[in-house]
Amino acid sequence: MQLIGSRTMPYARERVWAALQDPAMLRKTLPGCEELTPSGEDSFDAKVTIGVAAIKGRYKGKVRLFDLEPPRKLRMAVEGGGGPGRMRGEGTVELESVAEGTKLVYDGEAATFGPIARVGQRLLRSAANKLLGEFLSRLEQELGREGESERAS
Amino acid sequence: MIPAAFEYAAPDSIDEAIALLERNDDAKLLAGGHSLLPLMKLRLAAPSLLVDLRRVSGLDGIEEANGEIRIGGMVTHAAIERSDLLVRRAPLLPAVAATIGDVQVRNRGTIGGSLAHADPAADLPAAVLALDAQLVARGAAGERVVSAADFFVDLLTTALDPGEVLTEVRVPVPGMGSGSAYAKFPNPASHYAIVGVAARVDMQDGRVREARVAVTGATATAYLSAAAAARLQGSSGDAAAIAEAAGLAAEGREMLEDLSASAAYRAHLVAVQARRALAEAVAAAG
Amino acid sequence: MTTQERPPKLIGEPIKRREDPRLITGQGSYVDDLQPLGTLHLVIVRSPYAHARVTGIDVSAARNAPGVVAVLTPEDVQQSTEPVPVAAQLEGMHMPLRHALTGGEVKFVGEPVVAIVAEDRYLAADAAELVEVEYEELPAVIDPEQALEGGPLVHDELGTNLCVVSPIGDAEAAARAIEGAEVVIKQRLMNQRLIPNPIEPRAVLAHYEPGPGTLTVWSSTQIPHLLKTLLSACARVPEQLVRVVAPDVGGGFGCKLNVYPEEILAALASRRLERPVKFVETRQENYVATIHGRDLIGHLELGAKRDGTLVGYRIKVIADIGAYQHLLTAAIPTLTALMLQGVYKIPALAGEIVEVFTNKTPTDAYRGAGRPEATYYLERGMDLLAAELGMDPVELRRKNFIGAGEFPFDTQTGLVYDSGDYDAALDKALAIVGYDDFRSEQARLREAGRYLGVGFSTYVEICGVGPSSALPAGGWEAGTVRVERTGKVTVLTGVSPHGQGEETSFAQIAAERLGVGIEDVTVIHGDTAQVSAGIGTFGSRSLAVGGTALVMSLDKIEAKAKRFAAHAMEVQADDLEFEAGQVFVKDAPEKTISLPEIATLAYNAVDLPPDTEPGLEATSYYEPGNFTFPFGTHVAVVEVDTDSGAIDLQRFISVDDCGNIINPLIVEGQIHGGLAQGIAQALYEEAVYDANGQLLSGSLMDYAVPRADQLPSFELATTVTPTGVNPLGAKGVGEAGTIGSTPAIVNAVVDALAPLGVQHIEMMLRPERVLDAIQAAKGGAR
Repeated sequence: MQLIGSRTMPYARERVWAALQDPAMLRKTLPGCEELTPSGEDSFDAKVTIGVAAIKGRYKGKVRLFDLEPPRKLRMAVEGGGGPGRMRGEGTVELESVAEGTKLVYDGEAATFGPIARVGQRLLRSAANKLLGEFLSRLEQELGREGESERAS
Repeated sequence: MIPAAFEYAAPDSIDEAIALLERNDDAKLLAGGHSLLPLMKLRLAAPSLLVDLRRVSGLDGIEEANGEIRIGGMVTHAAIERSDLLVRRAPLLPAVAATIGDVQVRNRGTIGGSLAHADPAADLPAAVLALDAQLVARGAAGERVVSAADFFVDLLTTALDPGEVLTEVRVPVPGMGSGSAYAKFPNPASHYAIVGVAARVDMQDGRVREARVAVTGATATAYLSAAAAARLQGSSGDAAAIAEAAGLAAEGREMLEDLSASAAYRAHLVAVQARRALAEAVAAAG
Repeated sequence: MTTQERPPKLIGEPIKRREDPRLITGQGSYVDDLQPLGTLHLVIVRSPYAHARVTGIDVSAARNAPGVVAVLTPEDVQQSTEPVPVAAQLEGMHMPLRHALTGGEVKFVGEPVVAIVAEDRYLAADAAELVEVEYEELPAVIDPEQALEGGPLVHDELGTNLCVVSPIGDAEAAARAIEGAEVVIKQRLMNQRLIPNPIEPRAVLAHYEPGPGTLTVWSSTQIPHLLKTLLSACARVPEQLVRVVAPDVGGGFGCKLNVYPEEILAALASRRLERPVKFVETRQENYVATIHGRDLIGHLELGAKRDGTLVGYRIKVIADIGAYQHLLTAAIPTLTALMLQGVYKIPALAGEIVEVFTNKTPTDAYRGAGRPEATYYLERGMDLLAAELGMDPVELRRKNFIGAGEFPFDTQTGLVYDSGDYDAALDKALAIVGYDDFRSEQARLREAGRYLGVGFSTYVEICGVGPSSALPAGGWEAGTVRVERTGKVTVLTGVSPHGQGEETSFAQIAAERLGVGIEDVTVIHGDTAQVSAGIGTFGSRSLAVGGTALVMSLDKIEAKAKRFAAHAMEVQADDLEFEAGQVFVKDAPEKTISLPEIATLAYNAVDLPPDTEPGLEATSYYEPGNFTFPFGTHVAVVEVDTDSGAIDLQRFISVDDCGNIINPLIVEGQIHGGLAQGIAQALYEEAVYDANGQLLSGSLMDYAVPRADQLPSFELATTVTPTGVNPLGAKGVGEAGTIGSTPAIVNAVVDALAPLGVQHIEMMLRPERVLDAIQAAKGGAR
């Protein structure tokens, strides 16, 4: 399924870019993320308990950033597996400087495998978009907190 | 089809149930179980504790008071379907309940459970939106009332806080000149609504004084179409006005896309079902 | 002594099934009801990918999980068992080897990779989640037509995705006929993949007892005897030490005419652990790990003269058989080939069946097994031809029927149809539907903007399977009749009914013949320890073939009874009549002796007739000389809502001829069930895969098995044209309903929408597809 969306955040592009590379930031903002450890250049191992409402599963996976064109564009690949099945996704994240700050646009494809694909089909796109939305709103929130603590210190 | 291990509690009071939810944020309430248990069997949900509401008293009444009908959260769809009071005073609700699933599901499923779960294709959300119902949520901090229009927030997400129980649904009794109808286009496998439109019109002197057009099954969450309602308001409720209003009912909404229907077809069905529901509602009002 | 009062006639009577009371009161005994002490539970870890390399398997956490007794891995299983058996071996066929667990590369979602055996089902399921399998995803082959042209291979070692090509008929003659035809219809027709959905998913309980070295297997199977032989080979236990029991089986429909990895694994595990091991499939597993049905694409060319006379028929069929052959996978599309001619005289006919591997669940027999596809192609073709010619679809069919006087009839495909009267069935159906009035009613409603349609399907099918030359393990059937000392009767049959009602119908046959009360006859089936030989229940054969073996044994009992009677009454056997359990002298009927009296003589054996052994029991093996060919006419009446594309099936008329009817209630029941599944293919059911080979219609939430309220009350009638193939004159009826019905529905919907310019809509007829067809015909966007 195709996943497209965007969010405009009131922060400079360089800050948003840095946040996307920062494992500590990703761990705080990826929904349900319990662990995120670097495993190489621009790649991470992750453990997440992810889902929507009651539908939750524990997944182990990898996040990989590549084709980096700082600070405007990168590609991200995610894959993971757990009880309900496996997933993989790949997409482009583009950052555009706009008057209000930075517009983050994502455009990618995701696929699911196993039980979740068999029974989750009608809810999958909505669920994926919801989770992506949550990620971006947390990112904005965390950037705000980071900014405050910087100002405070 | 084998759930993961879980603990089970069946408290005697609502406060005990709330306390259990507070203590354990991986707990889930169990009402009729017909949404939750299949998810657990597929291991798509694995709450560590099930808090069964079956022994909590005071949640299964249907009573009229002060121009509204109060329905306990644990009232089953079958009880709603059969309630003389509702059939006489707020017929949209039993009409919608009668279309849910099948006999077995209706015997077990509850209004509180269905609304709190907020499946995008459930029928009752459309009914409570069309009836402008008030939903009572009770948690550790006490009780609060949320209107149906504010209740359905996102996919499977309502205005309920994690530790809250939906204890009651309050339906204002429609007045004279009110007509309602539910037009459901069911998925032939699950019998969920591919699209369901609950329409309610209040007529006065041959004109539509107020209309409510609630759509379920089409988007991530059930919604009221303000555009359709506005178009109908003030009209005579004739076929042309209905057709135009129905054509607006999907406007500006991102339609779901799945095996049973593409987004484009869903949008088309919203208009078709809205037209049917509105025509029936206007006829019932007259 | 006068002839006793005749016992009631039983054959032909609508006697209620004796199977039903226990089944509908919860007193049936299915595999999962069996709980021998010490039973362990088997759970399978399955591939989530349609195509992937297995790069690592870590079972250490699973092995140490609570309750786990054993973990089976691919390497182990490949060394300890034989490959999953493939009985249908066609010439030139490519066949990948496959063991019960797959190590190197997985080829379809649901393929078993690891097996866990634990003390209970719940612990086994928990442990299964701890198994870590590393997969390297490979491209999935999903489209069979693309798979033939090149691209990734399902099985690298085969060098091709082609399994086998089977031609039939006369390609040159058909080509000439099509090229010279005045009118030619060309159409691509999809006969989509279906999921059998028996109400009881598969289940097996294997119990190896080390003392006697015996392996007893209870399996929800249609073929206990064949399973015994095949499982003994796979699990490497000598055949004479294997016993297979099919207890009550909750539906098969062909998907349990098979040998599955889980049966092999349960047997292996039990042998190793020396405890009973049980596997019970979940519905989720059933959807991916039990065989699927159909999935054939037909490229059809039908040629005729302007007056409607058929001159030629050519079809290329692409069969998507999934990732592997199962027991009879490759044979099923060849049944389509055999029945291409249908009920018509077609002077030139040719077919080419191309079977292709893809990364999907393997296909195999599913109610109709190849014949629904053949009927669908031909009956849709006839309607397309009728529309092209501007001819009434009924008249076009009638014009081309094989006439009632032309039987036995040699087909272009090498078959000999036994008997038929296609006009009689059609006439009956037309009368029931009220065809003359229908067209004027249809026209009247069209003026009012309502779209009513009628669709016909005139079908013939091949069953009573069958002559052993056509079947890999033999097509005979065995039946024993034993008159007990007390005169009660035991019937042992090699067929394995699971809804077909032979406990009742065989009792009717035996009871009437032997003059005993039907309650005094017991029919035993499904246990290889009690019934020494058999083939099984499938291909609508149980009555036609199994029943004939029963009749042969009854004949032998009669002959032996007469010998005893002759000896006792001191007359010649030829002077005796045997009727309804009494043997009497033809010219002096007062001289009579009853069956129980004869049984006493036979078992006490004080005074045996010459050359006669004691006892009153007979066993027969019946080798059919031919298949049988039931036929009929199905008619559907639909109304299509052009706003939504929704179809209202208002009436369904089914006139079926299965030859002589032993029990009309059972025949009706089989037709009802068959119609439900055939109509479902047109309107409700479709297995949908995504580009990665994931089954999206993966549960009853999305795969619509119709319920009673989604079907009309069927209007049934029969004609009776007995077959000469067997002494019962009975043809078999288990699949006819499914075979005839599907095209009637599609024809009706297209008939309804013809005035809007719609010519064809592919199955399944989901409302969106119907609406799209209407819009496309109008040339407008929605």
